[in-house]
Amino acid sequence: MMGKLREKRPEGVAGRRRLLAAGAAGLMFISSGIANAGKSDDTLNIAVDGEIATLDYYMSSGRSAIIMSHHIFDTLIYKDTQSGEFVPALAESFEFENETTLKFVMRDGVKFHDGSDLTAEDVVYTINKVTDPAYGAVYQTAIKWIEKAEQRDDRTVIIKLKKAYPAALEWVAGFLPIYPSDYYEKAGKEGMALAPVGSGPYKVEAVEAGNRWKLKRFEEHYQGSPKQASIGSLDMRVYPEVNTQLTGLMTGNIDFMWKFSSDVAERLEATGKVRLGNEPIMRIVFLALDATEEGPVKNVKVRQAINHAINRDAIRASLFGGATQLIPTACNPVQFGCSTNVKTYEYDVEKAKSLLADAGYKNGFELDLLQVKSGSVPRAFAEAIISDLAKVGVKVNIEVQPWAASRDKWSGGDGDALLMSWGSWGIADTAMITSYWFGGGKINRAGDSDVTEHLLLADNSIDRKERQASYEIALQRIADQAYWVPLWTYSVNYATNPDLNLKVDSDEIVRFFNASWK
Amino acid sequence: MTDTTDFRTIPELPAPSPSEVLRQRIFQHRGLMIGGGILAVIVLGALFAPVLAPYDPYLQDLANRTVPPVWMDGGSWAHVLGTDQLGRDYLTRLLYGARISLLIGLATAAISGVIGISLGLIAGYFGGRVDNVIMFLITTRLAMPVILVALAVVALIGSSLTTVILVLGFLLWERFALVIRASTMRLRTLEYVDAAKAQGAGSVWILIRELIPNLANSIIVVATLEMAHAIILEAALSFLGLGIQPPLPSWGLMVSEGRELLLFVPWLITIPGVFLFLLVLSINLVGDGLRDVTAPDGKN
Repeated sequence: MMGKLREKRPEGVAGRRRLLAAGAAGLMFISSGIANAGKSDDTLNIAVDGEIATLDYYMSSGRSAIIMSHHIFDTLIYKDTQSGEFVPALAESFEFENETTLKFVMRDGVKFHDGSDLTAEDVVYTINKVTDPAYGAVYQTAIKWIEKAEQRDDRTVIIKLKKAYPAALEWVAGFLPIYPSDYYEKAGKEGMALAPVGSGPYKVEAVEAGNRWKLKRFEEHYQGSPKQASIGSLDMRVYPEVNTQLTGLMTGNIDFMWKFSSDVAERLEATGKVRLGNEPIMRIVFLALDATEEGPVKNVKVRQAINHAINRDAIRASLFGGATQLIPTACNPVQFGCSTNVKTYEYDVEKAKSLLADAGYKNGFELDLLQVKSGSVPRAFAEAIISDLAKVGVKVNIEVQPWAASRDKWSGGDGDALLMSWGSWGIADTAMITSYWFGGGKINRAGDSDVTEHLLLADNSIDRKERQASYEIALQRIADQAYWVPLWTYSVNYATNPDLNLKVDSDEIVRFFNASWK
Repeated sequence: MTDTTDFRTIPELPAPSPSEVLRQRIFQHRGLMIGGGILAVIVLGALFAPVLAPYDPYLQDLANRTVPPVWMDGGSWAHVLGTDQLGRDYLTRLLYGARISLLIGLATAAISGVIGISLGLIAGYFGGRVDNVIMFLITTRLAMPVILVALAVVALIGSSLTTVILVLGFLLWERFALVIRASTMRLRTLEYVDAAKAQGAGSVWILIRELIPNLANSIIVVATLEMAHAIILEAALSFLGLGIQPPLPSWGLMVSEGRELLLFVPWLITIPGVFLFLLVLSINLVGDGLRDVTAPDGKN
């Protein structure tokens, strides 16, 4: 019996050792999965709230992918977020030769992350490649104005426009990154999706597809770049759940998170453990109403009644607060051409009921509402609107869907109303919102040719006064006909490690290359 | 010392009637009493919600948002269980939410019960090819994950109270079918079924008048399990935004609405969560208890 015990002891010790070793290995594995506190290892740990399907910028959608591309790639010019001016980037100079010809003179000595030189050929290759319909670029709005790109000499590139287009420089600066032609030919779309090569301030070091992306500062980034990175590494990781992000932030495993509610912001501030920010951005929140399909909402009086029935100020103040502002018009007032000289609808339940009675809906009606699932349009806010509409007899049937599904349904004629927010790609021009929603196409459920005509006139003119006048006529008509219930501008909440200097810009791009440690 | 007791003088006690035995078993079954008590309170709260609830469940008060329950700092008797993110009274919404949970549980159990019991009876009684076909249906249904199918269907056709009830009703019948089939296979060989056949009773008569009464015990147990299952699934669907749609006060929806403030205002989730737990627990205790007290030997 004793002998057996003695014989077993070494086995037991070995077992415990194996157990300890396994435990240690487990701990190492777990700790490798947890991001380290940022300042000590010069790594900025970023909570990404949505999956990035591909790093091929032209094939991706969503805010996280756009932000990522600003770090991996460079554009010909750069928009200074402080002054709003366009400054040289990959191109050392640029000018409009005429209304439809943009000329860029390329900078010397710019390298891609793989060590190859960035040349005029790469610029022409990229632009002609992504504007080819066969490529299937996701954001057609960003490129559909381009006729073609041409190389005039070793350093000069010409972009020919289809017609005069005032917003061209905005797209070139923010949404037209340059790819290395040789690498793209070799790696293709798949290669760019997983291991992209750009010339931006950070290069891709490691990718866990759909989950985690590690970027490292590109030490050969060109002198004179407006994007000079200070922090050594960026570790971007998907945390789809806000409480997981908050826990990571408060325990020091995350250095940056954003787009949480004001309720969370208030309580987070009380902890005193993080630095909070709230910045107004280009995004606005609105309720679009259908005027094309048969039904109650086709009646202008019903649409006006809905405008009167929603207590916008009370909802905004309670649920959003911060720097949000009520808006009377179908664009953000800071955007060029966004006139606020339009008809307004004060909160007046009795007036709403009277308008509904005049329209033949004294006992109310049922309204099918599509709500885009988004942090900027929380469910509580939709419920507040539903409650206000119920007070005038409008029973709302709500359907919550992600943006892509909501867009398809709305464009297909489903729903009487669409509740969502729109960021205008961060561009301060009315063309990016009003023209998108009322400028024709299936997404335009106003079906008002007068509005569309004036918007097209404004979009294609380079005369600023003419543009402003045309936008104003269109916006006044939109307000008169109550095609939308414009709600408020949106200000984004964000929180950082207290040791981090970083702010969110009004175009809703977080420029981590501008971040630094205190 | 001799025993002088005359046993002949002790009067013979009358045997207790079956209903007395049942009543005695019910009162002696602790689980059934506890579960029944909790369930009775919830059912009564749901039935009398319009009388008991202090407010309108949809009435918003944006100036009084996330008021804590009365036992916490800042709480008040005006809102015993506090208010939600839109200032709606939490107690009121819980009472009205109980109606939705119970309605979904009962309606789902009824639909799935009719389907499952019918299939189980037919398969178990007739056997052979009929049984093979029904077993194929059951295994096909078992191969489909309930929550995934429910999510897909609701996402496809849109969510509403009716949709949720129908989807769950048509998905949760397989347990009824399996249990009833197995029990029917056992019962069909017993003498009283042969006796009914000998008297010229048809299959429908035997199924309805002879077998179903003897399967009541199993049916009750499975029905309570499925009722609880349906309530949990509704809460899960509503939590994911594909179940009951706002502003209806579903308990799952209430949990979902409080999710963002989980770290800072945990009671927004724990209160509906605890009620959900108690409802499901009580239904299961009642089901187990009924199985025990109605079993021939008093304990299954």
